[in-house]
Amino acid sequence: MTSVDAPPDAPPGAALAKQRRINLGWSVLPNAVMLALIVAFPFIASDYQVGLMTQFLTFGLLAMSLDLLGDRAGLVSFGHGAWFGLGAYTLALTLERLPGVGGTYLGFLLAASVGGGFAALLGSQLFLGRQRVGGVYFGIVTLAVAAILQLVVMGWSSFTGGSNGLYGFATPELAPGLPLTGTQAPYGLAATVCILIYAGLKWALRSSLGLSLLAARQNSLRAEGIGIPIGRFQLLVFSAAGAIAGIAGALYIPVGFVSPDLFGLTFSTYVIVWMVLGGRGTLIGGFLGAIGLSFLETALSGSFVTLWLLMVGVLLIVVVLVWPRGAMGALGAVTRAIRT
Amino acid sequence: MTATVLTQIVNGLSLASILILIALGLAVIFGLLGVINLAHADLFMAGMYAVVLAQGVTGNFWFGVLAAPLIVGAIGFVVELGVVRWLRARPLDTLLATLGVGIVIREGVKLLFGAGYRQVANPLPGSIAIGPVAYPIYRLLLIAVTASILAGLAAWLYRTAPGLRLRAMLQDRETAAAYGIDPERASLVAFVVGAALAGLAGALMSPLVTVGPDVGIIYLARAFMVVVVGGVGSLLGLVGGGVIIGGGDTLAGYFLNPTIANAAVLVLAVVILRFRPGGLFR
Repeated sequence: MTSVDAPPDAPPGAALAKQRRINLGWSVLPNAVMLALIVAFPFIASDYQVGLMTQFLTFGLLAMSLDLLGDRAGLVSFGHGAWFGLGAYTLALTLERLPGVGGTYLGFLLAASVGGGFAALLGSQLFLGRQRVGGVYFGIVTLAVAAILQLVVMGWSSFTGGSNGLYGFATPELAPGLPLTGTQAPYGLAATVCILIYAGLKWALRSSLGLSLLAARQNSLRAEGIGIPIGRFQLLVFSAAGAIAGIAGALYIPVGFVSPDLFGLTFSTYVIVWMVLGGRGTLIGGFLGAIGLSFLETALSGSFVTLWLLMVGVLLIVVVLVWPRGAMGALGAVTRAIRT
Repeated sequence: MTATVLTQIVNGLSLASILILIALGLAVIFGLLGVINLAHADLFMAGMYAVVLAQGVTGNFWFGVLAAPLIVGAIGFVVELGVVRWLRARPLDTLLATLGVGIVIREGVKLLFGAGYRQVANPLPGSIAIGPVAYPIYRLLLIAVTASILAGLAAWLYRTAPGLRLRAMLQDRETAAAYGIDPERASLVAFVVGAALAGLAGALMSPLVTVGPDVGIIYLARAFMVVVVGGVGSLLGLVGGGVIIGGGDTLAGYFLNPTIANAAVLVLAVVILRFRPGGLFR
């Protein structure tokens, strides 16, 4: 749960050794609580809430992938929603042509490959060249790429349904007789995928490759000096984040329709807000931020929404200015204070 | 045939000047401070609402054009002092914080004016004949206004003491400070000027669009591309970027569906950025 950033004056390795000890004792408990909550949720909440939660889980997964990109590649995408849109449209278009179990699995596979593949294609152009396009320029490029994809989706209406989006495609089926309808089945799938991806990422980020990625992000000059190929690392992380975002988009399909708004700046802004307010560099922070903020927003209705968004904007500024670690960082500070 | 070609040329020129006008504030802030201001689209939109407000009170469009840079410049003053100056060492966080500023401005406008659309009456509705083509006066005026703002900005940057101080700060912050230039103050000036230009652009654009709280977002991606394609930190580059994006859009729009043309030009811009990250004109 705590980030592995070492304090600047710590000897090399100290933070990591400490991190291992902390992980054994302290991070099992919150993970277990989270797991129990996710499993128990469909039994304690109404059908309506479970339906919402399914949608918010996919948002959470998307925010998690954006956090991965920021934490291990030092990049912030301002068009990350577009990868979610790519995944959603890919599964919807697949189901239109090939309904049933086969189409469902093929669609999910395609959603991940289109998301990852498109990120790999863009990343290979941006990161592997003689002059790496990174930092703020990466932000501009991703913003423009999302705008391009949105324009293409709007303009190519014979294929994508244009500004109406796509609806009426076949219901995805996990197995013959197990369609993703109602609330329980989609929730079960989304929750399972989220847990698996989170566990997988946690494991991957603690591997030596994951730590090299962190080193490359924290001191790119030194990392480059000892032979870490930063460009290829960024490419790897960007592709993984794209693939996860694509899967998240495909999981959104049981909602029943997809619209070009998924590619819009507003949606991508939301993803950033979830990640920053939830807490950067924690993976789970963005995930919880997405779920918490989305629930709050649906709970408030009518003219309150504007006031709520105004507050979110103020909160975003304040968090970036004075508490860059967000809610999870605050939680970490509190638990650390209790322990000592 | 000549009439069509002529119309397309003037169209391209008009769109280029509009895009340059919109990107000016962004270019000043990015070029002089190295700050990407993601609230730019919303400052631009705030300029339009300054016109809505001024026109509602006085009934005069031109009064709004005067008020917009003042109001939006004042917003910029607050944003620089309250947010941007504290994030100088964290460029990515500046993006995130200005994104928040944009949200605050947008939702604030929704609270004050409602989320509905407004129309600003065109103050110069007539047309003028250019050879065989009749062209709206107001669009021609915008081309002239953009050119004069550019000239004024160049004169300010290259011929006056505050401009000199800004350029000195841009070259070397610490040396400039050692020579008695207050970099904090110079940064504030640059940000306020950039914000005021965004507001002025919004005011001037308001008769040509349907004014709404989300209107700025439509232009954001293209405005960014105008700034970076030509080369950050050069007014000439800004003009070049405007001509490439605006001209390209008009040209592609003549042959393609306008939405696809729009996308094609952005693709071109990304490709240029990939091969010439420093911009074309540097």
